[in-house]
Amino acid sequence: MTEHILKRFDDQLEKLEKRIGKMADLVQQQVSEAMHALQTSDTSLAQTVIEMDDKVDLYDTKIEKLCMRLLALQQPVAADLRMVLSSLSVNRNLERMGDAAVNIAERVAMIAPHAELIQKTQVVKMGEVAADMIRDAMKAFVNVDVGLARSVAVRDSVVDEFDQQNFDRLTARMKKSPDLAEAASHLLLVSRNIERLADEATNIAEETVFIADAKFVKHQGWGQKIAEDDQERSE
Amino acid sequence: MKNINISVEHLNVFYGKNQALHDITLDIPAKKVTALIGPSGCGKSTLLRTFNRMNDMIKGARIEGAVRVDDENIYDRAMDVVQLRRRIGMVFQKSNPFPKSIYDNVAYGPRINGLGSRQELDGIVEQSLQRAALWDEVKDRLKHSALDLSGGQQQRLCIARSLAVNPEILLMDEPASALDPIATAKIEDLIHELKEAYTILIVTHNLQQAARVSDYTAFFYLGKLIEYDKTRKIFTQPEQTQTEEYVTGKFG
Repeated sequence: MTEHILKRFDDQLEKLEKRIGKMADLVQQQVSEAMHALQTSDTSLAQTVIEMDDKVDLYDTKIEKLCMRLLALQQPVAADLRMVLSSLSVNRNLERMGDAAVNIAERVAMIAPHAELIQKTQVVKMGEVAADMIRDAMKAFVNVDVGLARSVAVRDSVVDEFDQQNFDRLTARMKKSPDLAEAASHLLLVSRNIERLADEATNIAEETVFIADAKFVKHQGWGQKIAEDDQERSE
Repeated sequence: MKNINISVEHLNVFYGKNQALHDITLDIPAKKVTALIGPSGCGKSTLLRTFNRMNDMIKGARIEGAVRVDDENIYDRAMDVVQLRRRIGMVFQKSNPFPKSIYDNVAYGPRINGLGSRQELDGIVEQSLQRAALWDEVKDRLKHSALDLSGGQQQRLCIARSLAVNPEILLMDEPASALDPIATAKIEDLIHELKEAYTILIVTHNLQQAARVSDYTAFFYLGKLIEYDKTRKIFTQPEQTQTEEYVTGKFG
C-alpha cells in the first residue's frame, strides 16, 4: 500500500497492527493451553492461562488508547478509518476470547475427577476447529483476505453443531448418572465457551470484509448464507 | 439526483495554450452543499469561477462546452453577465468589505440594482445580516465601519452582502481558510443553515471541512474530474484509487 505523506501516521498504524498481532498470539496461546490443560487435567497449566489474562487486558487497554489517539489526532478517513474502527472491534473480540479461555481453564480442576467424560463428547475436536478458525481469522484480517474470512464464517456452523451434540450427550449422561452432574455441567460450559471462541473468530472474519469492501456483514447470518450459496453452487 | 441547479456539460477551459479543465461533466443539486476538492492546480477554483463567468476577466481564457443554470447556458451570447452575477453570489478567501459602514456594505447591491426606499433597504439589510448570523453582533453599530469588524465577522458580512441581492447560488472560494477555529465553525454552521435556501459550492483545501459541511464532493486532479459522489461515500468508501489516496493523505 502507498505510504501516507505523514510518516508519523504510518508509524502509528504500523504500531497498531503490531500490537493486535501480539495480542492475537497471546490469546491463541491461551486458548491452546487451556484446551491442553483440560485434556491432561493439568491444573498448573490452567493457572498459567488464567495469569496470562492480565497481559491480554493490558494489550486491550493499550490498543484502545492508540485507536483513540489515531481518531482524535489523525482523523483518518476511508480505508484508514475502517482499519482503525475494525481494530477496535477485533481488540474487543480478542479480549473476550481471552476471557473464554480463562473460563475454560477455571473449570479444569472441576472436570478432572471425571476427565473420561471429555472423550464422550466432541469438545476436543470442537476446540481444534475453533483454534483453526481463530488462526485463519487473524491471518485473513492482517492480509485483508476475504476468501479466507469466508471460510472462517462457514466453519461457525460446524462448531454450533458440535455444541448441540455435546449438550445432548452430556444431559443424557447427567440423567443416567447424577453423580456426574457437576463435572458434566462444567464440561457443558466449556463447550459453550468454545462456541463463543468460534463466534468471536467469525466476528473478526466479518471485520475483514468491512476493511476490504466497506460492507457490513455482521448480524446478517453471513456464514450461513455463504454455506447455502456454496451448497447451491455444488448442486 | 433530483432538482439539478447547475449542469456542466463537457466543459473545457483553456488559459492560452494551457488546458485547465478537461471535459468536465457534472450536475450540481439545488439547495445542497457541493465541495470541490483536489490539490493545488487541479482546476477546482477554475471550475468555481466558470459558474459566474469570472474567467471572462482573465486574458486568454477560453471555454468550450456548456454550463447550464436552471437549463440556461450561461455562456450563450445573449446571457446578461451582470444579471447572472446577481443570481450567483461569490465569497472569497480573504474577506473584502468595502471601506464603508456595515449598513452600506449590505445595502450596496440592492442600491445599484435600483432599490432606493429606506424602509425597503432597512428590511433587506436586517434580513441579510440575520441570514448571515451576524445581526445580533452588529445591530447596534450598523453605521460603524465594516473594517472595524473581526476577520470572521467581516467574512460573514461579505456573505450577508452576497445574500442582499437575493441570489440562488453561493460560490465560496476557501471562505474560512484565513479564520480562527471558532470563526471557522461559525461559517460552517452558517453554510449548513444557508443550504435551506441556496445552492452552495465550496472550494476548500481543508478536507475535514469538506467532509463536515458538504452533501456532495467532487475530487479533481490535473484538471480532470476523478470522482463525484455523496460526501459520505467519498470519505468512507471512494471508488477511485486516486480519490482514496488523496483523502487519506497519501498525495496532494
